[in-house]
Amino acid sequence: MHLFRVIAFYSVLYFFGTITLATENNPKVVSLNVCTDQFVMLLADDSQIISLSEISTDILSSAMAEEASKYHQNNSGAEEVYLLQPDIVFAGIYTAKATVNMLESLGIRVEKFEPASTIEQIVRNMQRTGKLLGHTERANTLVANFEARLTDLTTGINTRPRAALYYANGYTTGEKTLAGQILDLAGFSNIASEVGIHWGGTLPLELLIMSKPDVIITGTTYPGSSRSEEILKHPALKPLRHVSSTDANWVCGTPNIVKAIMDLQTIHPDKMSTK
Amino acid sequence: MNLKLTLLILLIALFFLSLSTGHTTASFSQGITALYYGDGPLGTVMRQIRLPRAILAMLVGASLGVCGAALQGYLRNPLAEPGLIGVSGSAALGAVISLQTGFATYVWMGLPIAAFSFATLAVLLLLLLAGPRGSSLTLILAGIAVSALAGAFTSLALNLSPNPYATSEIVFWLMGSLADRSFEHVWLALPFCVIGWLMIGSIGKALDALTLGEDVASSLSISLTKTKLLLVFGVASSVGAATAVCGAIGFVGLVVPHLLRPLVKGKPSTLLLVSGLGGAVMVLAADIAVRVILPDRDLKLGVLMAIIGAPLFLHLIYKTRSALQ
Amino acid sequence: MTLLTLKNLSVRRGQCPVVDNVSLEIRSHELVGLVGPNGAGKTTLLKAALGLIEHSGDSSLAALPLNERSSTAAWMPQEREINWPISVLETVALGQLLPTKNLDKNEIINDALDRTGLINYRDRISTELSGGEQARVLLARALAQNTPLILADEPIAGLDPATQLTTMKMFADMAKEGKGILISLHDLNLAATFCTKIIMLDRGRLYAIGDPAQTMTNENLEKVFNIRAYHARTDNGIICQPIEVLSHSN
Repeated sequence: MHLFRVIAFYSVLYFFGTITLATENNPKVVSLNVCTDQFVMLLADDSQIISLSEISTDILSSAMAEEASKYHQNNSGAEEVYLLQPDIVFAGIYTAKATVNMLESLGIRVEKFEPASTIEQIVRNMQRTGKLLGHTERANTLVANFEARLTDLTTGINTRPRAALYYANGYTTGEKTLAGQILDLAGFSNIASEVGIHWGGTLPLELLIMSKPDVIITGTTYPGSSRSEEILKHPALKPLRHVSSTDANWVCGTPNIVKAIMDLQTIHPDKMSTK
Repeated sequence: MNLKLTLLILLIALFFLSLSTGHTTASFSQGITALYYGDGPLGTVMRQIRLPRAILAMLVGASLGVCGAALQGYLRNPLAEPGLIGVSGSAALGAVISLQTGFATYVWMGLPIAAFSFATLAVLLLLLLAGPRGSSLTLILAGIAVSALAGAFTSLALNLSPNPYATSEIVFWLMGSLADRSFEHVWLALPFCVIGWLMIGSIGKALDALTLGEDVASSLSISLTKTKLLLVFGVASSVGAATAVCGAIGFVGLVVPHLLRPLVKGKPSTLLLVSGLGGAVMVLAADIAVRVILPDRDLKLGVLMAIIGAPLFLHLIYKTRSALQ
Repeated sequence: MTLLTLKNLSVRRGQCPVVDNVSLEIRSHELVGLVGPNGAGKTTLLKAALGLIEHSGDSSLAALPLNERSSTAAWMPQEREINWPISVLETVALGQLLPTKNLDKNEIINDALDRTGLINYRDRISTELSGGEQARVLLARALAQNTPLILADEPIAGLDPATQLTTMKMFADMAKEGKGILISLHDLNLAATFCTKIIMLDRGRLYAIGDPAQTMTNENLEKVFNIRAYHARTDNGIICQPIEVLSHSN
């Protein structure tokens, strides 16, 4: 009897011990980039997240700004990050080289992620994140839900209204960018392709007017004023159907893009009635 | 041949040329028809994009030309012009501050009013530092000082803006551009420009008399105070408004009066109107050129003006270098 | 008829009186020479009379409203360079900037050009002329103003003898025609020959006033200029040639 209790006690201890050890074995991370912030928030345990970038709470750039507010924020400087003692640092490939090199030379593991512009890349980033964080299962579930949602959203589209994406300085993005993909998935055709812009480029105002788009999608403007954004308020654009909707959901290649697609579909003739 | 008539014809020709320049390929007659009757996109392009641009080019050019001629006449110095002496730079500062603080949005005509106020301060400061008895050297130095100060504060104001695009805007303010301007900008600038022209036009006789010095002008019944005030407010008003909507465009006020002065036998009052026409012609031509040379990039007007104007400025300094000692 | 009255006119610079309590009258048909050593206050007196500088006391000209001044008096300052490239015709035409009422301004301008021998210079640019020619242009401008009164500050300084004589003769003729002319000058000889009246200024004060014979005596010249002069009477007028500086200073 006494032996049984001892064995049971130690078994329970061992059982919980391994679980704790297992969770304690999951790497602690610091994220330096607004997109990797979201990868981490989507797949990591709360205890794994040491710090996210400052921009994670900027509602104009981060799709998960509210969730991010409960975590510590870093200003992406090497000194601060090093002192936080992370196991892995998540960064974008365009994060300041000096910072990344410094961290690596101090012996910190930095994982660099390419910004996603296709669905495949989004899926790959999610799976890689899951593996790094020790949550492969979670990642697979996320991906599966994501793909199912996409299939939902992309069925039943018979017409493709012509749309133009128009940002500050008359910049537009083509089908090879994330924004272009979102537009495409939502069931619109991109004017940029008609004028030969596949990635990004300037679309002169005259050409935009002359191509007679069915709808213009402009970026949300920043506070304060700037001449670059004035073009979005040009009187010549007034008669055209104007939807201002690119927002934080368009910025990063994460499953959150479905929100962007749903937003766009509220004006799509084939899909709006389903809302 | 009548100079005014020639310039007028040139102006009208360039106006129509400007209307047919742009990214859209449409024949001249198609464009003009669309201007009047077009309902579709070409009509919108002509009326909302090209027409205001051409009008603004004339407004700005005329203002700069007239003010350059007036300043040169009053200061009796061929190197004076609104850009060089810091008036354009100060107007830009006023414009930037009014835009960033929201003054331009919440106060009716806030933008040109702010630009006008700062431009007035600049002209007053300059007259204080290098008045009618000031040498070329004093004038240039004072102008450099005012320009530098204005430029620095403009940069600062833009850097402090919450808008990430604002920082790179300094190029627009320092070099000027007419790209994508609308009738909104025309209505903002027009009243101030016209009032400025009228004020300056009224001191034509005074400028003539001042060629013989202030004392003689006084004895010819010219009120020096009134002349000074009309000059200050006239220049500040027209250059201020022009800069507020298009950024600072330099060298027009220097080059145009200089080229036309021999053709009017030096008479300041005639030079005013003629410089106005000449300035409009020059800016229209330059605006057509920037659209033709580099259509895909917004080549700033100021760049072209500097390429033409800076060598001429150097030539002028060389010619007047004995006076600079 | 009296064209200009100055009563107790004074100009102070700080504590120093540059012009001290001067009263005088200029009438028509007079060519008045204002003489005095350097620093006597001649230029200051003229400018104050015109109302160009602050003064105490009265000047009938300075008391006029601004818009009446140009038809009352023409001013030729000491600065004799024209440095703006304006044509001769336009320079002279400045005299008629505010046109004389009831007269053809072009006629007046042409008359002035003719009188100063500049008819053929009409389209020349003023800055390209010689010093003497520019002086004539400025004189023509003053003539073109067609005023009863002319004030000039050293109008013949730095000109060659022929031009000096021609200019003084012109002033004398204009005075005979009815104008009142007040000029300051250093050349005592020319002043004595051509002027109908001399005003001698000594350290801001009116020292002597009268015709040349009365005022330009050796006694006065010693006191004011510290010189002695040779006097003679010729058919052309009085000669008063300074010949010696006296040893004691004032």
